Amino acid sequence: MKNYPYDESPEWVPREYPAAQDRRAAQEGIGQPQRDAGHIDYPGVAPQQQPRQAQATQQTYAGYRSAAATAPDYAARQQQARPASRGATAGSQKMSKAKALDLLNSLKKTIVIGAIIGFGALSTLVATHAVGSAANQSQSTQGSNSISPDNNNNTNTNTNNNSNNPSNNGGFFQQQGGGNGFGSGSYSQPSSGTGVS
Amino acid sequence: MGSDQAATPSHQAGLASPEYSIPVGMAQGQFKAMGTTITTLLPEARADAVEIVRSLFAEWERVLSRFLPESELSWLNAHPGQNVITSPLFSKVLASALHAAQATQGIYDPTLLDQMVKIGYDRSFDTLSPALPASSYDGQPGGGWRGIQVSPLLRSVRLPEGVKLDFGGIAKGMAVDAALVALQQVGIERALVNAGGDLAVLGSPPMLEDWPIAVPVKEESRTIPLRSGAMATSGTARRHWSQGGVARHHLLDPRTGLSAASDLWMVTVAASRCEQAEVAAKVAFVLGMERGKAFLQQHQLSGLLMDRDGHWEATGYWPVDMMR
Repeated sequence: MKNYPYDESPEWVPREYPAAQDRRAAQEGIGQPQRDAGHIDYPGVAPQQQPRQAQATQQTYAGYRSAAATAPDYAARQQQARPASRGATAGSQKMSKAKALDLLNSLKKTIVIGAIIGFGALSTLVATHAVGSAANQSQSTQGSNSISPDNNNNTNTNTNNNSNNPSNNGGFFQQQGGGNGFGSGSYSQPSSGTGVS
Repeated sequence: MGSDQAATPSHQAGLASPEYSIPVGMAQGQFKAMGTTITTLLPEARADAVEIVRSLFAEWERVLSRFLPESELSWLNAHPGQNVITSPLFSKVLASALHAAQATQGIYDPTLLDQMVKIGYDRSFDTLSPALPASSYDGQPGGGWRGIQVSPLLRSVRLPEGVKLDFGGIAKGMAVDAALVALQQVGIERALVNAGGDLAVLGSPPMLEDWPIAVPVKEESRTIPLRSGAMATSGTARRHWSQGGVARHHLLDPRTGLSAASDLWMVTVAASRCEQAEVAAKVAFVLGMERGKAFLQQHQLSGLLMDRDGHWEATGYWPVDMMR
């Protein structure tokens, strides 16, 4: 079957032909008694068609290779090119392995050193985080209020202004347990006393 | 920083010590530590637990006393500018002190040791002379706590040059709180620990609902029923002296570095923890009647503020009916 006028490959037409022949034979009922003798066909299933298609594909591939064989320039070029390229590949592989090992080793070192540095940096950040935050809190406190000893005149005024919200103190004076802590009993004598300290 | 009820030098006088009645079923223990007298009220069956409190206070004093040259505090003060790894206890107290300083915007200042020494309080108050020679010191503002570098993870502390720590009352208050926790951990359900006036209670005494606590009111005292939490008083009635004829007391104003020129005579504060009560009482005292009252109100604390004339004002839930 020639689809194109320039397709002169001798294997191309005959190798493809048997498949077309089989299809025609199947349509015309040729060979049907042989299949009936040894097979039970399930509806919708044609088990023998797939190997034939595969065979046809293989034949087509073989035909392509045969066609390639008819082009000596190309084959010769390939034959000539292969040893050279194999030799080059072998040489570069050998060099790559050595380089790769070196690269791997250096990569390992880099990863280890990087991990150590990263861990150290992270640890430092964690360790110094509270230092920074404490300093910042102090500075912000210093800046936002005037109870700072450097700023004596405004101290009391700002104490009032800045302490309006008890939560502003960071929870130091937060009372736990609820209640006011006082009872209602009336006692003539104390059990202990809160002296002036 | 606390009153010494066991031995009272003449210049520490000024307060009438009321007669105390030990609740039925309770036993009183007493010992000296942290420059003051520690009193405990414990169930009679567990009276030996006073040793727990004693050892706790001894440990806290060994670490935190400024009068012990071998204490951790003294070591740190002697190494400014260096990173010093501190013990968990020291780190905890320092963290609370800095927290308190921030919360009070610097009115509570744990870095006034130099100033305290310069006004003459350079030794245990029991051995302090009531009349010291004159000094050229005219005040040096505090605020050095702002420069302290702390790393909680490593428990390292670095003091800036020229800054020295003196925890004062907050350490005592924290020790009281810690003592109650320690007693609770050994199964004691009712107890009172009083460190020279800074006290806290656990549970209630047998057959009573509250702990009757004497609060000084000039020459007298009033009994206030404390059901839970802690109470602390700051004032000038006991720890005062003169330096070259200038009246001094131990409650320093960080804005001047001198004894606070407060119009108050004493402040008593009730809070859930003794460290809170101690800091709040001191700060309110330094701020004076009006500002101190506002401070306590803003922090929702119950307190009693009394001026030199005996006039008093109360904040929060303070049982004013018990004051009359």
